[in-house]
Amino acid sequence: MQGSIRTRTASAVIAVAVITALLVGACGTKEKGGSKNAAHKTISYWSSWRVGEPQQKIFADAIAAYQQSSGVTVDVRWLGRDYPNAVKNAGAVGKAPDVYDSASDHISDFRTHGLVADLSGMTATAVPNESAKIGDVLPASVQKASSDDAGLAMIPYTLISSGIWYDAATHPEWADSPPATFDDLLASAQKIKAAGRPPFAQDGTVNGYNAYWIYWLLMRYGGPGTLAALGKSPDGWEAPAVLSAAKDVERLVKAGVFEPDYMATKYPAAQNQWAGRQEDLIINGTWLSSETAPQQASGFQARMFQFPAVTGGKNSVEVGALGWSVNPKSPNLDAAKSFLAFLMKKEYMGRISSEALNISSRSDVPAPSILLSAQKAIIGATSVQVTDDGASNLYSGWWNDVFLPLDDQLFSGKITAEEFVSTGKSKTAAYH
Amino acid sequence: MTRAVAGVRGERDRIYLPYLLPALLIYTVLFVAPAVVTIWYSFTDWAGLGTEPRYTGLANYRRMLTDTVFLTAFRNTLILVVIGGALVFGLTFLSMVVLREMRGRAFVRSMLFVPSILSPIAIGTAIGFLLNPDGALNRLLRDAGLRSLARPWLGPDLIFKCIIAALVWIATGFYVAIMMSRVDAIPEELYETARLAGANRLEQFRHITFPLSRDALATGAVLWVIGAVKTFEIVIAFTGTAGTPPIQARSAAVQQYLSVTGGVSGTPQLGSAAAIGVVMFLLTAVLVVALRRLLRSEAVEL
Repeated sequence: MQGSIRTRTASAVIAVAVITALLVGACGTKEKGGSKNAAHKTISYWSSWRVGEPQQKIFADAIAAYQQSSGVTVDVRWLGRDYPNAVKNAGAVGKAPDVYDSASDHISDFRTHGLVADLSGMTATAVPNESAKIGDVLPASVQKASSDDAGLAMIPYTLISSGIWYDAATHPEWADSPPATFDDLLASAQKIKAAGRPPFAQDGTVNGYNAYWIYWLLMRYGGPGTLAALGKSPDGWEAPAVLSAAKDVERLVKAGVFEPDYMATKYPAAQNQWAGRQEDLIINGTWLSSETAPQQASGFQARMFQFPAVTGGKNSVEVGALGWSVNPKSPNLDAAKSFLAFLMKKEYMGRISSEALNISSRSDVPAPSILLSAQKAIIGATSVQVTDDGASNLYSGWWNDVFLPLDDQLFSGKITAEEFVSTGKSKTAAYH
Repeated sequence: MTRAVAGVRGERDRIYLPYLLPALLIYTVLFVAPAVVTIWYSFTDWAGLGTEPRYTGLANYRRMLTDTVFLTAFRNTLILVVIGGALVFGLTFLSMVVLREMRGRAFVRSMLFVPSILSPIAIGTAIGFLLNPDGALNRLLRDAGLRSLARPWLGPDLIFKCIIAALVWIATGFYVAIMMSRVDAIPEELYETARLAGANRLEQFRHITFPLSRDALATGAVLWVIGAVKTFEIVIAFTGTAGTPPIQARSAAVQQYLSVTGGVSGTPQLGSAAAIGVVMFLLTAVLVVALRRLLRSEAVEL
């Protein structure tokens, strides 16, 4: 009797072990690539787009054409926005895809996980059936936004920037001559306020959107690197540009140019109000027009201008990019690179502009009219920074726990510019 | 005789073992091992799978003691557990007094339960509609001539109070359901006798309902503590995911989430997230043990 129980127990233990092994195995991803048959290679690509999105359709068409012309099979997974965890987890067990979607603000995270191959050499690669090389069609500013210290981290396909949005139907005068300086911007806002409307919409419950103001003023007074320096060490706070920028935020807040109780406005109420012409201006990213399209009043012409200059300041342009990175441990590096070169064809990059309504990374593909001025600024930029000066990505803990809460205090008028600087310095010291 | 019993018992215990083993194994693999691993990671600085954890000893814990952001999140969690709990159970007791004899009580109970089954995403959308500066609530107040009562509800100063109110609104129906099922089992004769003796509703509650539902209260209170320490989605429903929740509104679980994800676009800090998890577990354990002692009573046999 006992013997039979033991046997059964043993079987049960084995069964459990087998099931556990199967479950653990099933959690992993199937190993791709590394096929010994050189004639028929398979590369894997994990995408941030979901089936049905314009980008997915464009890339699916490109993949089909690439497979036909190269004989390489692309095993694609449309994972959606949560793809970074899937890529990192698969990378941890040596099963990362050969190619995956990345973004300029994700490079350092993927780099930490050893998942970023240096693609610098690809700038000399010709785009298939075109005379141009990849390096020729990607402006220097765009290449910089797609790189980190270790080289070109991704081949970009879409550019992101930020600035101040308005409705060109209401303010046609800004199409050619937007407010040139921050003082001009404040003066324009005061004029709108005097006419009885709140000039600026602000979804104040999104601290990252509130931080657009201090970020841009820091870029204008101190140039790229000024904001990142604040997260790096307390010394960064001593730069005179920091106090100047904070003082302008204070001036903006004191001018009362936002909608009433803006700090309590839940996203996306304020941007929808702007689209409904309740306010005239809003600071936001290049995606704002497509995000608010259904709410835009009839005849609304969303346009964006660059953040205005300050006297004696710097004039950099924000360039963020979405692109494709390659796993350095991929057994199919060459095929992966040839796939990326194929995706860069004008045929597909043109559709990024015409169908996805984004700024394509290729300088020879005109952006949709809404974003034309942003593209012009990016191509002509002599100095660039990535979104948030990279601080939200490089020092994310500090960004969420120190900088954004402190900026919210400044931006809601609870503290002065001087308090912002002194508290920022001491809190950054305490954080490190 | 004693030896014989011991022998039989020993044999019986040995027979249990093989039956227990598969469950024990699954429990160990799926729960105990990850828990132990989590404790280990709480002593490291780790950016997640694919990177090497760096042993940092007690640094994550030491940091928590001085980190004003974590301390605020921890204090908020305690406020949710204690003040939220007092409100939830206060309202539950009130329902126990009122609902027992009320007409249509089954309907009222169902209505009270509805918030517990709503999806937090739906609640999040409704919150924007209701509580924005020009949302339904402020408009209603202005239209009713109560302009002075209109507030920036979702601003940094008020949002946490609104979160407590929402949590109480969501949870109360659940605890009313638990407690009322116990109250329903109390024989009606006891109340009749009490009424004949001249006891009013409050006295009936104090001398009959409360003592006879104490065991359900103990269970309910433990469930509340376990749930409230983990308060997460309601905060996100209020603050949205476009930014990171303001410090004033963060619970320990929200702070842990920010460490796990690195915020909107950051590198995860899984070591400190693990340490927060360990502290939350200890808080739950301490509170549950304390509650069990406080509410310990012999179950009354009816």
